[in-house]
Amino acid sequence: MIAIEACLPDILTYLGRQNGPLVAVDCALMPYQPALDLQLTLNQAVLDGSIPSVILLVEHPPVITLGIHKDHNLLLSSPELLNQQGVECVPIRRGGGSTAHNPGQLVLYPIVSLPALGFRVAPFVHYLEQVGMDVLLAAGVEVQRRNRYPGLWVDGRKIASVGVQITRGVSMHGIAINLCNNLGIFDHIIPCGITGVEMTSALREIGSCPPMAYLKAVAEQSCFHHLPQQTTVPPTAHKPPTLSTPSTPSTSSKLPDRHHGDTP
Amino acid sequence: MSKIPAELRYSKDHEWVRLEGGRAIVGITDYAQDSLGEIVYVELPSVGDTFEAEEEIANIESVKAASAIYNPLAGTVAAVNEALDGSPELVNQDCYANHLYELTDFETSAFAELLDAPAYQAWLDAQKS
Repeated sequence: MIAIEACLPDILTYLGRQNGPLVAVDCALMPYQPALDLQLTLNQAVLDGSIPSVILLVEHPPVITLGIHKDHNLLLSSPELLNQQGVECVPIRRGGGSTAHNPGQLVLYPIVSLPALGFRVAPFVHYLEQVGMDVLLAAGVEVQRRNRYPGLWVDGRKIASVGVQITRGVSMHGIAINLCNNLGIFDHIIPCGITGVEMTSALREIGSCPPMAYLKAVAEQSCFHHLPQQTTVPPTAHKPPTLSTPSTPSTSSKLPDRHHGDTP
Repeated sequence: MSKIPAELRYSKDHEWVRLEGGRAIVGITDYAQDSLGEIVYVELPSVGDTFEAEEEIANIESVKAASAIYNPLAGTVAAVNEALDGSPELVNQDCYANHLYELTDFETSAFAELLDAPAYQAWLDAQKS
């Protein structure tokens, strides 16, 4: 995984020199707006074919984002209160409704050419969910999908939210996985417009959470592992997770050969 | 195999267009609806707004993915298919019977320049190879 600092000052030139169909970039803690600007810049460059597909791994300071599904954008707090509490609120063009991000939540932004990597839309969303499942399994949490409710769930509690935007076959936005973040931020919204939904995190479920660096490495490995077969690259170029966490189940033996097929 | 009716014209962004009563009726192709999967929400343009060709004009949400729809023909939105507001799945059921919107103030010469059915089929084949 490349640290964002290594890509600067000219990230497009840097990424343009990378080999393989997909490059993972660790953006560490990055405010929402610069991350959105970066996604838009990369989206255009992937569309132009000047860089390979990219996946950004990022944590955000507290922010609420609103999707295109107007009926599912439900704020419970006034803009003034959000402002007082230092929570930004940004309307974007992502699928789905309102969601929230804050430190301790791992967010993956795939800037991916779906045709180039052999994805169609629904399997691509499932691919992101599969990566989230691998990360949470590495954190010790078994999760489920729910029919008609995208995202990842633990016995009816929502632990990861998914929502993408696709522009001429190139994606942006992605999946947000609650690891050890403060879940209080979700009190400001009705997440994804689902009334009564309870949010959870790996920390809430099992009382602990492995280090973020380890889980980012798992996410990166999973992103490569579940690419459609024709674009899978040898893992040699990408260091597997090495951090010692004895209580953490290994994901590698559980990963199927291909990303899974369609559910619902 | 995607259905491509012979009487329609097509854009490379997978919209279809037909002329009816001086209006251009616009929808998405079978290939597009099949690629998107189950459609849960359609965001349509406002009547009276004017769009250039290839400008983003609508959004279709399927399984938490918002996909931009590009206007195939410069013109003004005269009407939108309001049935899609409550029943977006109609586009999956029959994408050629359930259009997205209608345009006026377009150039018929621009319509004539859109792909015909064989040319669109060739474009699809080229995308897959």
